[in-house]
Amino acid sequence: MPFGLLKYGLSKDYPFEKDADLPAPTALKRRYDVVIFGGGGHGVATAYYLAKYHGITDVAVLEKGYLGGGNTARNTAVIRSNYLTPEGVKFYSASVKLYEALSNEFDFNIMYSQRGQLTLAHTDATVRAFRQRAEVNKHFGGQTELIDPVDIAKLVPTLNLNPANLPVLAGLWHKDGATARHDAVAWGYAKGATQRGAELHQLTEVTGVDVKSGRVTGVDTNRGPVEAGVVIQAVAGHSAPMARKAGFELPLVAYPLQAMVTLPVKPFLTPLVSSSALHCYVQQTSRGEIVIGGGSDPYPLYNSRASLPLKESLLSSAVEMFPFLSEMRLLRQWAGITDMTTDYSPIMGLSPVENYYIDAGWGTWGFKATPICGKTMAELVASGGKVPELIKPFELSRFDRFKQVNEMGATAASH
Amino acid sequence: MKRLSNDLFGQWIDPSSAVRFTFEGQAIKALEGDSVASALLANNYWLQSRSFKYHRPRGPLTLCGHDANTLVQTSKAPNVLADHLSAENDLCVKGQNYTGSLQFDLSRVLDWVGRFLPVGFYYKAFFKPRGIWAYWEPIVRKAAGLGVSNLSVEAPYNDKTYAFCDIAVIGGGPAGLNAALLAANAGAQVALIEQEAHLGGALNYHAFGYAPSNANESSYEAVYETTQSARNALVQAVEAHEGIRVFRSSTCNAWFSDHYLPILQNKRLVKLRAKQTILATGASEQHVVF
Amino acid sequence: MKIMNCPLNGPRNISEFVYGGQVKAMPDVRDVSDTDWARYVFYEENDTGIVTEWWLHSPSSYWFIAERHNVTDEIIRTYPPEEIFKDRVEFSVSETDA
Repeated sequence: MPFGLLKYGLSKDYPFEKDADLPAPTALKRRYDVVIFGGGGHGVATAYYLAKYHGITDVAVLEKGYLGGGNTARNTAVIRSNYLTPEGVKFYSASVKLYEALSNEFDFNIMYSQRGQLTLAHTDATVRAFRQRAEVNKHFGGQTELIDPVDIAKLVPTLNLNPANLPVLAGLWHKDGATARHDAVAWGYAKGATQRGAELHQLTEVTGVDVKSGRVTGVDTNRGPVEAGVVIQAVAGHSAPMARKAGFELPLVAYPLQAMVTLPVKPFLTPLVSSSALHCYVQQTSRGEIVIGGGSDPYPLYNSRASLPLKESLLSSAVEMFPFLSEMRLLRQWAGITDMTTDYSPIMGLSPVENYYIDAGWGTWGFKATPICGKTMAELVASGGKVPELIKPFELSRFDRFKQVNEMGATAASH
Repeated sequence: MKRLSNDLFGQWIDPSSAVRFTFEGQAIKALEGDSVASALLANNYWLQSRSFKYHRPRGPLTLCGHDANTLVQTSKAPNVLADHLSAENDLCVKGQNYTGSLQFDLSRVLDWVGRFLPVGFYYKAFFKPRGIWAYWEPIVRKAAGLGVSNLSVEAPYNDKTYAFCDIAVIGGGPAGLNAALLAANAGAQVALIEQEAHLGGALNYHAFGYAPSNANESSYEAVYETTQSARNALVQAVEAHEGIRVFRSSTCNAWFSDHYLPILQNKRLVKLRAKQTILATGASEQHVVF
Repeated sequence: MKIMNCPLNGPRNISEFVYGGQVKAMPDVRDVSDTDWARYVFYEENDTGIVTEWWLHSPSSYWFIAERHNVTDEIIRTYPPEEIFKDRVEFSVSETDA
């Protein structure tokens, strides 16, 4: 029983005023050992692991807007590791493992719900690709199987198995697939980091990066300059423009990614369902809302505006999969800005600038990697720049060597 | 029946008509032009829904026509605004999100223990020991959500069409009506989009200039009738004007790049491309949370 | 949704168009290092600001160039490729390269 809630009713004070999760804002110091800019899930997760596991607490996370207000707020909260490459599967499986224990790790309920993720195959080529993904997943300890339409009907009785005359041939059933309250992930990490001494500075925008003799010495902000021993950029959509401020380029293109949500209804859908051919995925949150996401916008834009053509195509796909959705009320449509790489894998680790580390290229696949990203970036800093094995495949230099880690087929709905 | 007896009101309903639907299994007598909410009020049903978390009694608390406290369930659809849903024969309407009955919702015990369940309480509990959320989540999921989806509903036929104009005016109240007339008189092709079945907006129910402090009944009547004449003159001028295309019972629910406006009209989506847009949606009443 | 002014067909909904990538000079394939070729393939002008792009009007198969601001989405101008591509490029392999 949640006896911990008793204290809220028995106290005269307004709840959470006394033991607020985040400390009140402080002045920005002139120097920190570590400056992380981008106060989303990845940024605060890195600060958390630095503080808790490496004793590095002279850390500032700078966020130009509000905590987790970028893509952490805008994603559709899908956590999975059913990828295609061994490098990808190892990496995302490690993240899923961390997610399973995360609420208890930082003492904040992220409502982590391992309900399973189902991707539908409508062509023979997709069935073959799914078979390969299932085998790679299982090789690394994941729970992923190729299942037939009979089993799909048992898992999701409400699903139309012949949507838009593209009959479902098989499904990639990933039992490890889960959903969580995406904002709570950022809040939990921020709480854990700031309670251990890291500082979070919102409404603080990095306007420039100071580099001397090939090494970063600090950043310029709208609140004055800040010196730093190490700088990490973790800004998602605007990764490329920010990297240019540090004097180098990133092989990224920024596309909006739109999503939408309905008014909440009583539970009817347990697994997360995605269709590769319809470019649409649907899931029901713990609050009862139906979240609908799909493929990226058709042309690059550093803007989070939504559009009607995508709304129409996404909703018609969703209604094909679940015809009764036609009677639901749509509450909201929004977008995030996704920095896409050509191989649909992230860019993590060292940059051409010494002590300036990159966490970028997260495109449409960043939320599920939040914990493992925070952990590995913290290891990178704590070891003085030694790149952890798990993220070595994602180094920036892989493009110069044509060593891409091709995960395009495993993004659930993009292709 | 609780209807205002004053001759001033009731322009939108036909007193000689009869519409019958059910609410929570009870037969409701309504009139043509009623919304489900107005018909329920006329039949003394003020309790129409329960609040999301604490299950507090809710019913129409504003007159804006899209009061979130009137979310009800029909046999086809969950989360329907009763004060926007037209009363029709054989409609089967129920409340949402209750245990037992709407009237005696057993879940209102959550309100009695509400002091232990402040905003965001679920982030602070239900996860220790590790794994216990798997036990709580189904319970929380059942408690959350408002209406119930009818899983056997088939997607109905809806169509789409395009429209073009020079100036789109969104909202057919006093500001929108005036804007449309001015623009059309200057030669523009105008599209006027109004959510309700009737033009006029606030002019339909406000007595502009009436001050209760120095009131007596005849003074209110006179002010209201003046407002009504102004309304009728504006509406007639707009409807007669060849340069204004009026969309009634049409909701424009977004503005997209380069003035691309989706207009929802029952079973049709009109995709309107305007050169310029005027937002004249007016004010909506929203009550303080309680 | 956005309106794109096709140089051939006039203003059309952007859903009639396909984004064709940035206008960038291709290095001479016979004479380029692997690193430079990687730069050409993977790297783009991705700072915030005005970009020069290839666009295809799908219904008419007409390729053209657009200058667009990649933050505000304002399309500054569109023009036929002949404006900047004036000389013919020979792709045939000469005897000396065989």
